[in-house]
Amino acid sequence: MKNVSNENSPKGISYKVVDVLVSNVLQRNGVNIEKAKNKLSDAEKQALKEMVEDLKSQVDEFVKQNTKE
Amino acid sequence: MSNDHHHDADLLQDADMLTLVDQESDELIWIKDSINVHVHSTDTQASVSLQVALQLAIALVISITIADSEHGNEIAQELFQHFDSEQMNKQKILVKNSKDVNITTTDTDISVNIQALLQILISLVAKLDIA
Repeated sequence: MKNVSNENSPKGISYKVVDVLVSNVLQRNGVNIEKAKNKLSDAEKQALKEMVEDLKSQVDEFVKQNTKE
Repeated sequence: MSNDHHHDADLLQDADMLTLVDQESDELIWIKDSINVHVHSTDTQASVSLQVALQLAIALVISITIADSEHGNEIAQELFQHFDSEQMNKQKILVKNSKDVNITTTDTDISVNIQALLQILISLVAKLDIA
């Protein structure tokens, strides 16, 4: 069994599909991305970036543990 | 939630909470008259916690960046719902009159769901120039 990294397709869910879905949901709810970008301070961006990286490593670890053997 | 007027977000949230409970796996491993049996099982609690952490992170990013909290809540729920189908995972394993057995069980459903949630989060932060 091979490990599935998050950039690739985990069991048929491609990143592109998710990306389009997210765009679509934001669009339908009338979200202005440019405006949303400006709401974040550099400190907030950094904190969110760290949070995402932390979660990503937790997910990677979880997937690794559950796909080996 | 006992207000006169129910927002759609409340209803969606209720539905989401129910599916979270559904995702708990039902696993039964029965070992009888055996020796030296090793069982490695997925920690369902850990996977559910990770799933909740990802959902919270998505909700947080949305609420910080996008509009008022009520609208943000709707968006978050809408994103979760695309992937939160009802997932039941039932496994029953019986080991009888055996020696030197290794059993490894995995919960693929929750693993896929966790990866999908991470992809949503990564997609969101990429759009917002965070990552």
